[in-house]
Amino acid sequence: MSSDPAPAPPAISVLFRTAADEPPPPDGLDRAALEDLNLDQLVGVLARRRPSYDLTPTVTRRLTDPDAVAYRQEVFRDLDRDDVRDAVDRFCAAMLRLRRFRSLAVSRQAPAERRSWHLHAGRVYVEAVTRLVGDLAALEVRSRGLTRLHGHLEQLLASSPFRTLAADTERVHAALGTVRYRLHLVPQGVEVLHDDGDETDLTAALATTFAAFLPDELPVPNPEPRRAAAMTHLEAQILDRVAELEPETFAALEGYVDDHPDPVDPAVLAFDRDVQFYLAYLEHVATLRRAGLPFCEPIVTRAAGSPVLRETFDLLLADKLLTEGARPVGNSLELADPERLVVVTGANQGGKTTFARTLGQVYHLASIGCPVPGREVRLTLPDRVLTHFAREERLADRHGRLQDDLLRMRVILQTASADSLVILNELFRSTTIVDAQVLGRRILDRLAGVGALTVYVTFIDELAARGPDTVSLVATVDPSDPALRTFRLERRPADGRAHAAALAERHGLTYEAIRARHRT
Amino acid sequence: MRPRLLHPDEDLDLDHPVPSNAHELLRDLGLDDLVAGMAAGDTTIAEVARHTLLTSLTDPAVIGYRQAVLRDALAHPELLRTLHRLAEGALLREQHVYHGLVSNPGSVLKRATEVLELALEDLRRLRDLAARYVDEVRSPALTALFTTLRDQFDEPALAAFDAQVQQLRFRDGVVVSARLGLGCRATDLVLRARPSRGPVLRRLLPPSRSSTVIRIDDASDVDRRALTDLREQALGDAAKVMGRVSDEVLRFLTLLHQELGFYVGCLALYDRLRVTGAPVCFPDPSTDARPVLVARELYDPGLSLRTGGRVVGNDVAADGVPLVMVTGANQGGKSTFLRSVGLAQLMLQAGTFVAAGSFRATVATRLFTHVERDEDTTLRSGRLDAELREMRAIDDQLAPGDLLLCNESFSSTNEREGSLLAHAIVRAHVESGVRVVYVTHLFDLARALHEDAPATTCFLRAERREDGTRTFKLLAGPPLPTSFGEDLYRRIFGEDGEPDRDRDGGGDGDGTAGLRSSAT
Repeated sequence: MSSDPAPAPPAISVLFRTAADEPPPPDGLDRAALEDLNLDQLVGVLARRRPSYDLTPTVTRRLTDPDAVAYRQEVFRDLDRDDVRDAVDRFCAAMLRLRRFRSLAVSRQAPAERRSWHLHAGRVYVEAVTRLVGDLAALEVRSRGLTRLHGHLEQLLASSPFRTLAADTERVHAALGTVRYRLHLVPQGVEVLHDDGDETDLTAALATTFAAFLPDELPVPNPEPRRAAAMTHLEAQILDRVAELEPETFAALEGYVDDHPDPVDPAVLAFDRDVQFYLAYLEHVATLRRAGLPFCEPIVTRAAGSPVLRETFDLLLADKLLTEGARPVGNSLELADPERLVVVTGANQGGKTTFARTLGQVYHLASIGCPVPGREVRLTLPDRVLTHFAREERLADRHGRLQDDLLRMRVILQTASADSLVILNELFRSTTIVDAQVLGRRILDRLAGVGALTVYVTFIDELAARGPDTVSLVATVDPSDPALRTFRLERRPADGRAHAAALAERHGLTYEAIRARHRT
Repeated sequence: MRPRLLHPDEDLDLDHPVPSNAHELLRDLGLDDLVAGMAAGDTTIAEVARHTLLTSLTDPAVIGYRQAVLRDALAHPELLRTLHRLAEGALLREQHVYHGLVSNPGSVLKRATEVLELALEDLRRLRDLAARYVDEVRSPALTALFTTLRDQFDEPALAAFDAQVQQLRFRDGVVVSARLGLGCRATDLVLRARPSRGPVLRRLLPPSRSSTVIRIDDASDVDRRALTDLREQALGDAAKVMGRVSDEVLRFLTLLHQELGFYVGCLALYDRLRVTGAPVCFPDPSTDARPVLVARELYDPGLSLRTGGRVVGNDVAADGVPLVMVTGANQGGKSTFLRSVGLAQLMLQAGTFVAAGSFRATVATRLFTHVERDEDTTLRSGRLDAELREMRAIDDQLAPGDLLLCNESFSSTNEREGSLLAHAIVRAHVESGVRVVYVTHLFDLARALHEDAPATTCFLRAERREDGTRTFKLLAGPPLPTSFGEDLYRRIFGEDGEPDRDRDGGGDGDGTAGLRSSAT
């Protein structure tokens, strides 16, 4: 480590390589996409795990530089190790205490009490940082983010202000620790006395005298005496008397507060805040992994290429299904040049919308550096994720709806580039089949012209047959019982008839069945 | 400090569950008559006796442990009765203090102090009695208890108890030492023996100039409450100790009263049985793999208590055979015999004497009874169904080492069917390692078993004299093809029947059963 004379400490972040990596806040299209993909729910899920931190900016803003993504993936890789995560969890728990003590150091009434909270906060800080530095060194973390943090903290630890802080903290704490006093409680009040050195412990004496009646087995616990949550007025008065009995010690405490008004390094606070994103996401993923669902670190590229997604699933639906005792069905998509349009057709409620949403989630999660649902994922970081999902509440006015759809499509088409991901779900559902067919074809042509990677979920089978740039995925049914949906999508020409035939069979409405009935 | 009069390592636990078939045992064996004979109106003794008889011991060492106490009791009946009365009196006095829930350390301490003050005198009386008899008793249980009472509660020990109890009244207030904990609140509160500088009380009463004295404003509920809380915290640990101590004193007295109650009950039963002139003996438990049921003059103590006279005893010599089949005349004493076997088995495994001249039996893991009931019911198929269901319920619980007593099982169908059913079931059970005593008039069944395996079955039959009168005595010998219903017919109609052709001809040439006296 160089020992340059006091340069401004570099901004150390585990989220960004530099401040320039920080993406702008989401615009209207981004927010609509987050909602369509149910990623607003992920924000909620993670916020519930870390209520005192605002994780929204990190979760909602996509990175577009693959190395910025790699920077986070490295941190995820480190934190995916139990030993590293334990060390960081310990540090965060200490920081939680630190913040609580700091607020008590401001809010409490009695000056001696306030100062003692300040001292406790200082102690927690010194211990937490010292321990974290030791842990990071022993654990040999690999990520740039944690390595840099480690370097910064090592420097901090060696700095003379920190060393003074640590020494002062220990000295004053030790002095307070030696204070012993005695209270004489009578119904009229309390007398506060010096400890006179009488070591007769009445409780211990009782235990000895009545040893014959103290069974070895664990007793039923007696109720714990009531204790006010915070120091009472009477206790504050007692503390004043104790301070009078021990003037030097309490003067030292006062001096400590004056000497170290704000001891916490900003980078330490920032790390505690930023690392919550990783911890909260890993916690969420851990419950799904325990259920045997696969997660992987996606391979992200900048250069346009053909995506590979194996066995991916909807992150938020998976959570719900597991609580209901079910499991999500994994779906795969693998495109080869020149395939850019994916048209999804097939059985109603067959998992089409879920597939579209899954795809969008995987792209978004990969873009914020997270491990993604699936066995293997390779994708190009999109410049935009643009979505349009049909919603029941938008169906109220049919004409208005079609107009809205087209206006929205215009904005999307104006925004989309060859690097964009566009997901369109049941577009033009409100109009006639002929309209939906004609308009759908036009939109697909435009998107093909732009070159955006497009997922188009529709009930119009004809749209699936376009040419070499288009892939047809069909939501399938169970071959042994065609009325059972598998939620699995297959790459094959859209026919839509297998499912219809199955339903006809079940209801006795096939040609043969109807003929046979009418013959008799 | 536990009396341990029933078990060397365990306390009597009336909450310990009795076997799931306790209800059937009570009903089928007439156990409550025996219990009433022991209790003589004392509800605690009744409860202890019933519980002890139902929760059988299986370890011969523990059976011997109780038998030894019972021998002491028979040698010194008044000693046991005096101890029992002493424990009862002490318990009544102290329970009087103990009622109601207490929730805070101060009241726990107050109650403990009162209990101990009362207990001191009771402990002194118990000790005096123990010291006087410690060299008279022979049983390990009473020797240990008396030695402990004599040594643990000598005068110096009781004086120390008294001194501590007086201190717990805190006439001079409560003195506690403390350190500064988190936020400078008092921590590590240690209760000290007594005020170090005389009664501060006096100095507090007049307005004090001393800065170390805090007087509570009478009008301030907040301060008063804070002072109370502080006092409760100071007393917390002592209350935990003394709460356990007073609980334990009470537990000791309760157990002493209950466990002595069992032996006092045995003494009462002994007197009532002996008064008829019938024999009573200490049984011999066997844990050999070889099944044993050998008894001389075995009789039903319940019947003896009900009639108040001497009842007929029977001999049985099932040595090395797992199955005892009892056949013969109706009203010939078969059911009584079965009850006498069941009661003797339970009394053996409760560690008390049995109603017999001698008794040696294999210790049973569990005892089951299957008894035909409701003899007037006309719904025969329903009855057989119910019987089979009951047998199935028993069969689900049966394991090797159990003893099954059957009384006219499967008599609710015709003899052929009932015999076939019973034959299969009995054979299956016996071959699974269950001992069975089966009382039946089903000749087919008895004959089949006799043909099968005469060497593994002990056959007994109800005696009928040449003139057709019954002796209620069972004789060893193979089954005879009539249940002597005609005797009954003859006695009622007074006409001369056919010549006797069913006199036992075969004797017991196979040597599996006999009339041999079975002194053990």
